[in-house]
Amino acid sequence: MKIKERERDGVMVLEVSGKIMGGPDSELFSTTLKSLVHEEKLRVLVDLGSVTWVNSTGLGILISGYSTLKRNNGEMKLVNVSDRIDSIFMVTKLYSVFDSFKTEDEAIASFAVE
Amino acid sequence: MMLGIPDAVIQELGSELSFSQSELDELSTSVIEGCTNALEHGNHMKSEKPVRLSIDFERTRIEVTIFDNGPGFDFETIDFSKEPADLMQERGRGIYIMFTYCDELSFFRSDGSFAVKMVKKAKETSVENGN
Repeated sequence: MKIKERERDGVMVLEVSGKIMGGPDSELFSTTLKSLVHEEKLRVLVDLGSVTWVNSTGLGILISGYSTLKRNNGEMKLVNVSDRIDSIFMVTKLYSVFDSFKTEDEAIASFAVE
Repeated sequence: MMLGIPDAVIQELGSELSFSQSELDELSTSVIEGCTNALEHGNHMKSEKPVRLSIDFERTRIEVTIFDNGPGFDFETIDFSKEPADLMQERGRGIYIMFTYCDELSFFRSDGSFAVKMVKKAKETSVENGN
């Protein structure tokens, strides 16, 4: 897994690529989010468009990141979720936890209205 | 963990058979879950302990068996269809995902190994469309 960070309209966009499957991925994602929290960048959009697949350990990584931001009064949302990853969210009912958007524009706008 | 390899094998194999992309993704994800469990819980991430995969297939059916070197778990007392009690818990979804995605899921012990066997069948629409 790789993460590329950029900022757009006050929202940190994390472009994740590769596979989200645990091991070093967990530390990378956790460290990235903790660093953002430390910098008080609490609106985070995770772009999963270049993620091949997520396993159940990877789901745990996303849940952990979501919880980290929530605990710090922040928010984590998702964009560009593939059919394969969307299916695993449906099966595990995690679609009810993560706000997910088809386009980055929609996702960024959703932060602004809150 | 080289979990991309079983994923690539299933995707390539399935594309030659009569499976839809979503069916292949479901099987691939299940195999990745099975391999993750085998590596983590079965072999405790010890590189000298191999995880072995056996794949049998016909046009509308793929059967994957994953063997590890661990003692396994008390699978006869577990309800595989049970979702995690807490939606926010970070682990414990692997078997549930395999059970939900596969048409058949079973566990067994054989010659000192522990194994999970999963079967995915192509649905009729996939066969008709030749996807």
